[in-house]
Parts: sequence; structure tokens; C-alpha cells
Amino acid sequence: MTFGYVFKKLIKNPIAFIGLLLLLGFIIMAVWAPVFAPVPENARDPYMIPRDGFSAVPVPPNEDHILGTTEGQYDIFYGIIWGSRTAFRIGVVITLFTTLMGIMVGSVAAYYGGWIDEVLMRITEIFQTFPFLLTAITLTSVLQAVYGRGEAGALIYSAKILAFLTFGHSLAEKINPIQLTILTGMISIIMFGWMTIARVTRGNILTVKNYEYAIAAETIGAKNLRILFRHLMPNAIFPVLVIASMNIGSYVLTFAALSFLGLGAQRGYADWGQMISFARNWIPSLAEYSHIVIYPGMAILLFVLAWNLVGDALRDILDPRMRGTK
Amino acid sequence: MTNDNSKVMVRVENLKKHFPIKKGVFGNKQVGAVKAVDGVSFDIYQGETLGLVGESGCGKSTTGRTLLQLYKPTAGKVYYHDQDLTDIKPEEMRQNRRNMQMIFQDPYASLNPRMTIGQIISEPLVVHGLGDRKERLAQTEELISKVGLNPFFKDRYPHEFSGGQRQRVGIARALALRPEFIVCDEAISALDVSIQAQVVNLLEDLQEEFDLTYLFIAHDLSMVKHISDRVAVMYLGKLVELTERQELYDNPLHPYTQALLSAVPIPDPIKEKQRNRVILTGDVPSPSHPPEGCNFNPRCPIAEDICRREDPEWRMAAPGHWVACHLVN
Ligand SMILES: Nc1ncnc2c1ncn2[C@@H]1O[C@H](COP(=O)(O)OP(=O)(O)O)[C@@H](O)[C@H]1O
Ligand SMILES: [Mg+2]
Repeated sequence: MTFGYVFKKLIKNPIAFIGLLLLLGFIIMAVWAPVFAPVPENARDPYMIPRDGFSAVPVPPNEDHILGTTEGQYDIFYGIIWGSRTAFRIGVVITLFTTLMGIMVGSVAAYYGGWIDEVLMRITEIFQTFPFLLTAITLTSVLQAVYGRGEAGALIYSAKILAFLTFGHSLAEKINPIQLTILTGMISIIMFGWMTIARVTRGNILTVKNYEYAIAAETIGAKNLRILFRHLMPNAIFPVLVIASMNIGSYVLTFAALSFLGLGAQRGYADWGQMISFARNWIPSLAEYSHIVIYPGMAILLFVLAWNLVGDALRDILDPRMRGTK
Repeated sequence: MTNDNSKVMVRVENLKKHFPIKKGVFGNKQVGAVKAVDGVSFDIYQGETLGLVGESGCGKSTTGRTLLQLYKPTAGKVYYHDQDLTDIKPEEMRQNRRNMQMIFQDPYASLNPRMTIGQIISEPLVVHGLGDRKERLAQTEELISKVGLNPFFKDRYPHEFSGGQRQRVGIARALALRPEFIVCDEAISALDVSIQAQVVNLLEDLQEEFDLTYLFIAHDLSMVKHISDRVAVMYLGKLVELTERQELYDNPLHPYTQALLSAVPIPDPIKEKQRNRVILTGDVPSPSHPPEGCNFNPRCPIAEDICRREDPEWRMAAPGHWVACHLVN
């Protein structure tokens, strides 16, 4: 079972194909964002959606703004196009961290067993008992307050590493306040988003550990780390990647919820959840101004759907019952 | 081959391996134990093939693995050339693994599906830092041809091979470190009958060429008859009989051995008619709840009172003929 084989199967599966097509669409949107939605000349930050006036009342789609504008005259089309970059950055970086953390915790617990396993799994369970969204909301507001007072210490470094991976900033640079709120949201999601991966990894490693090739590795005198990295992990990791791919969509959704509550991206930032948050003031008259929810909402929906379709199909392809039949 | 001045290579003394059965919220309350191996003693002589036979689940694999210290023994000793393997540092044992290897039962599960067969066969050399890249490549190719495969295929993955070919890859891996002792854990059981003979022949040729000593595990007597010098019979975690191959087939002392032998057809029709058939009834009891007294007593056709009360002693009933049965003189 190679990556080539998996890819061929993915293309042949109609559902996965739709998912891949959607993803491709978003990738094109993100890569060529400046072509689809050119940045105005005087803009300080391309991720701040350009405004066409300051009127509070949203304007429905028209010639100048093909998807209309929201409250404050932010251009919806621009926001959706540039928002795809934000979605990928946030989704992929969060997933990278949660997956790495989960794999580390899960495989160390499974391979070493005993009290190490006990302790790590108890910690995992404690983290799991927190309601994810509520905790993320609370933690984000706390983190933002802490950063605001400038006493963050170690947290500053984690934010800087994230800023480097998410926005490509050098570690020496001071964190841009517009991005800081995004980074705190990401940290909260990462801190409470790694447990499923840890548990699945642990279960898979425990299974693989009993396979004869793992015992064979010990028999020839391979050391612990070699057995873990060369024999156990590569064979336990595929199902974990399935979950990771599905997570990308759900993290973006969670982040949108934070933004909707005013905790993620700042007002006017090209982020789909943040764009929907403008609708909070217009709930009684949404029939008239439906475009302010529908377009960004569609973007989020399709993005999450795309990752889920791909993940689902991957899971079918990698189903353990199909293993060994090849 | 085995006489009084044969050199003992491996001595196993009262070896036990119990797997704990755990329960409780924290999985830390031990509620019982699977007595997979429950006190076995035997010697393996330099250059011989010792067959180890018993029904599936009786503890053969666990014996082999505990002997090689892949499982930590619950009790007992394993001496390898007078060195106590149960009492040495892990690093010392790791070095020792160059001398003692294992061939596995399942040709599908015993090879890492994400490594090429070249990587699999050269890994022992890499792990012990033997030779440089070029030397390892040359050795790997030599090993591949030694086991009857084409070195040209070294960059292929295990799933591209048949069961028999994979088993040869497993044999090459076990040979890579030039060991003197190999545990063959049902190395042929999973193969087609036509392939079994080929692999047994290969193992015999290799034994001759490299002066190998084998512990050859199998689940029925017909498989070990051809290759073994001596045969040990195991039942529910214990040895019941151990002797020279011919002696075991001609003069089995333990009722369990007799039962196993009556399942093996005899080619001579007159002998076939004359012999007493012992048919076993009932199932093997669970190793977590072995019966009182002799482990075999619930299924034994000749069991008496003492068999239900006392464990039989493992003793020499005739020179070189070991048995554990109250009713054998
Ligand atoms: N790692 C393990 N943990 C718990 N029980 C085990 C383990 N390995 C084997 N057993 C149990 O020990 C007994 C003997 O198993 P095994 O040595 O594999 O038998 P055999 O090789 O003769 O078929 C079986 O009841 C089996 O379920
Ligand atoms: Mg076995």
C-alpha cells in the first residue's frame, strides 16, 4: 500500500473525487488570491478587507461588489477569496501541531506502557473532559488578556513559533497585534485538540507492537527508538492521517466560531467566521440581507465538507479489513 | 548425534511465563494469570535439532520467546553456554542476539510491509553496525541467493512475494548475523504442503553449512519427525515427554504422546492394524485455570486418583527419556 496506490483509489472514488475537486478549487483560490481579488494600492495589510465607505447598512450584490458588502462596507468577495488563505493557514498549522502532539503522546504511552502509559492517558482523559468549544472560548479570552498585559513569557515564544509557521514571520519580529488574536485562538484549539489523535495512535501502536515483525525487530537487536520509529509508527500512522485530514475542516469551523464571537480574527480581517460575525446585528432583517451570511457560510461549509469527503474516502480505502488483500 | 559428551548449548531450568490478567479502573488490579509456560526444563545440544510439539495454545511460542528473552520470564533460568540470560543487562542481551535468532510462523505478519526485502535482510547488520554500506549490500545479496531467491528482487516489498518466498526472506534475516542457534517457531506451519518440504530442506542445508542448532516448534508430530534429532512434547504449559526421535515414535511413554502419535498415519498396514488407537476427548483446559494435579488428567484415558491430586514429577524414566506421568514406571 503506497501513496500512489492510495491516490489512484481516491481519484476513482466519486465522493472522494468531489472532495478533491473542492479542495483544488480552494487551493486555486488561495494561491491566486491577488489575481482574483487585487489588493488596493494603499492597503497596509492585504488581509484587511478593503472598505467602500463607512455606512452601517449592508449592500446587496451589485456591479462594484459582486457578492455585496457587509456592515461597514467590507467587500464580501474579497474577504472570501483572501479568507481561503486564512482557512488553510489556520487549519493546516493547527492540525500539524495537534497531530504531532497526539502522535508523540500516543506512541510513547503505547510503546513504553506501564506507569508512563498510565500518566499520559490520565492526562489525555482530563483534557477530554473539558467541553472543547467552551474551553477554547474561555482560554482564548484569557490568553488575549495575558498577552495584552505583556506578561506571557513562555507563551510569547509559542505564539512566535506559531506566527512563524502561520504567517512566515521571523522569530525575531514582534508579533503583529492583528495576528495576535488569531494566534491565541489557535493556541487554545491546539491545547485541546490533540487527544483523539493520541488515543488512536496509542491503540494502533499497541496492535502493531504484537505483530511478528515488531518482535522480529527486537530479536535482531534493534533498539527501542528504532523499533518505534521504523517499525511501529509507519504502520500505525495511516489511520491517524485520516483523522488529521478531517480535523483540518473541523478546526477551521471551531476557529470560525471563535471569530464569530469576536475572539478569533479582528474586525475586518479576511476570515470567514469573522465575516459572519457582522451578521449578529442584522438577525431580525436577515431575509433582506441574507448575502452577508450565505456567502461566507457557504465557503466554510464547502471547506469543511471537502476535507470530510476526502477523509471519509481515505478511511474506506485504508480500512483494516482491506489490508493484506491489496 | 546426542550422546553423553555432547555439548549443551542452551539449558532451560524450570522456566515459567505467566501473563497477568488485569482489571480495575486503572487496569492495575491483577485478577489472575495465563500460565502460558509453567515450569519447563530441557537442554539443547550443540548442533542438534530439538523438536517442540504440542497443540495450538499450549505455550510453544511463549517458550521460544521467553527463552530468547523477548518476554521477561516469571521464573526460571535460561543458560546459554553457561551464561545466565535471565540475569544480564539489556545491552549485553542485545549483543547476544547476534548468536541467537528466530524464524516466525506467519509469513505475512513477520515482515514489515513498509520495508523492502533488502532493507529487511540487512537491518540486523545495520543494527549491530557490521560492515559499511557496500559490504552490507554484498552480504544482503549473498543471503538472498542463499535462501533461493533472486538478489535482483531486493528492492521489492514483501507483498509482492508468495508465502513461501516471504518465509525465505525471514530465514535470510535470521541468518544475517551468522547465529549459531535459531528458534524456528512453526516456520513451516502456515505454508502449503508442497512448499513445506522445500523450506525444511533449505533449513537442513543451512544447518549443515553454518553448523546451526535449532529449536524447531510445530503443532503436530508429523512435521518434526523428519528434521528433529530429539522431540519434546508440550501440553498446557508443561513438558510431558522428551526423548530421541526414534525412541519417541517407537516407544512413547506418556498417554498424551500416544494420543498424538495415533493421529499420525503409519505407512505399514500391518502395524497400522495392530496398534492401539488412543482417541482424545474434550478440549484443552484454559491456561488461566489449569486442573488440579496433572494438567492432562481430565482428558487422560488411564487417569487414576493420584493424577487428580498431585503434579507429576519431570524425571528420567530411561536413559535420555524424560517423562512427566505418575503411571509410568
Ligand atoms: N502476550 C500475551 N499476553 C497474554 N496471553 C498470551 C500472550 N501470548 C500468549 N498468550 C497466551 O498464552 C497461551 C500460550 O500461547 P502460545 O505460546 O502462543 O501458544 P502456541 O504457540 O503453543 O500456540 C495462550 O493461551 C495464549 O492466549
Ligand atoms: Mg505459536
